[in-house]
Amino acid sequence: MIAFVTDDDWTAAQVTITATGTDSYTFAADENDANSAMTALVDWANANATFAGAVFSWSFDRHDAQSGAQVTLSCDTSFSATFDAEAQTLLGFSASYSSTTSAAAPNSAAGTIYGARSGFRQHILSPDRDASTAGNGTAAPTVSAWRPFRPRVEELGDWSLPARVRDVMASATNPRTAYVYDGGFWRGYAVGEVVRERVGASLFRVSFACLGEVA
Amino acid sequence: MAGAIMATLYSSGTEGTQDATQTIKLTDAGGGPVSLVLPAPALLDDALSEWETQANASGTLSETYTFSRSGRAITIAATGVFDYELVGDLSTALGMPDNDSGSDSYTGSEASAYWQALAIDCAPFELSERVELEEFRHGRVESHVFGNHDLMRFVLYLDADTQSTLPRSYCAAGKVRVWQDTSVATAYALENEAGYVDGYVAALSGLRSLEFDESIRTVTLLVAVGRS
Repeated sequence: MIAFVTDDDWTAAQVTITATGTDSYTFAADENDANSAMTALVDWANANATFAGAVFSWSFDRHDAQSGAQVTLSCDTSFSATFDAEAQTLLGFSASYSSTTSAAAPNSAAGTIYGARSGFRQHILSPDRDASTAGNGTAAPTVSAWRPFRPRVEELGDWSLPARVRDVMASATNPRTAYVYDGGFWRGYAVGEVVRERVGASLFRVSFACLGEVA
Repeated sequence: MAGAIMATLYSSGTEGTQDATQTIKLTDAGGGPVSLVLPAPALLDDALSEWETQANASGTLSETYTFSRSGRAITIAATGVFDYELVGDLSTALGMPDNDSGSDSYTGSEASAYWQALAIDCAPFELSERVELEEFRHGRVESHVFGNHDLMRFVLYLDADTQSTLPRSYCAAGKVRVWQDTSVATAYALENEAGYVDGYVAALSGLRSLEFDESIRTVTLLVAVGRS
């Protein structure tokens, strides 16, 4: 799953949660991708004394028709939540959920891309002819060195995947940044060229040139 | 599936100013000529509706008018005899003579502002942006993006008898609407990928016959669609 940082106004989005008490969360300006926003929301809820020890978490799943990611807000006790119009648009949630332990968004969160199959090649070292940009900062220019962080991210999907990619790219920030879930961790990357290939009658591969870590 | 292209007719909104595709003059028993001027650029079908509205709202004209399109044939009809004049290059766009008189209905043949393909090959949007991945010391990076549109590529299958006029038609340049499937009357969207696409012709190239078939030609149409 890939969550692009978007140029939407995430600070206009507000979530109100009622568990043992009621409190509202408004996203900060730098919580402008689905991963950062949901992580911040859950961190805030778990640290909030109003909710008296309730443990919140979030997860995501693929939205088959949209090739995006649907997020779910969960809690170990029953809770209710309301999402204002901007939060509904950006996170894909419905307007309200009541007395549930799991609030699942029916639509994809903004900036998310999640193909039927995802390919992620771990950070690998690659040779660089110029050590001054290769990370150690101690060698003079023109000295060869190894450069870290050159992953390759690919998504495979049907027609909805390239359509989704096009929609997401239109609202991605410039410079372009995305967080990629590699199966264990979220990693931040600068995403360069996006290449779309048709690999079957209704099968497309979209690959993202990535470099980490993001400045 | 059958596809189609419709051109946007330019209008300055002012009669006599850049008057290539915006003005129709009508005369009937009530008087005239009355100038019907598009107030703004409009798709061919929208332009026909606008002219019809203006004609029927005219205080001078006495007949009731109907502007319609069937395929590439445009018809201007009224409840009584009328004369018409197409100003500028409108006769090419509508596929009708510059002017005519003495009838209550006139029908053109091949409007240059509308094109039907025997079939159309479609592909998803191509990202047309340029990207500059900048690398700094200590492995820090930034990705700068340049571009504000995407491209959709179509291959049109055309009747050889009519294809020769496509490259100089109103559908070969400027703002167009492309129906990927004429049975889908709604706009393209994430969950409606077969919907019509509004954009600007970026290229029309690769005209060739279809596998030695002299009756069918194929041509590639590249349409640029702005990012919103």
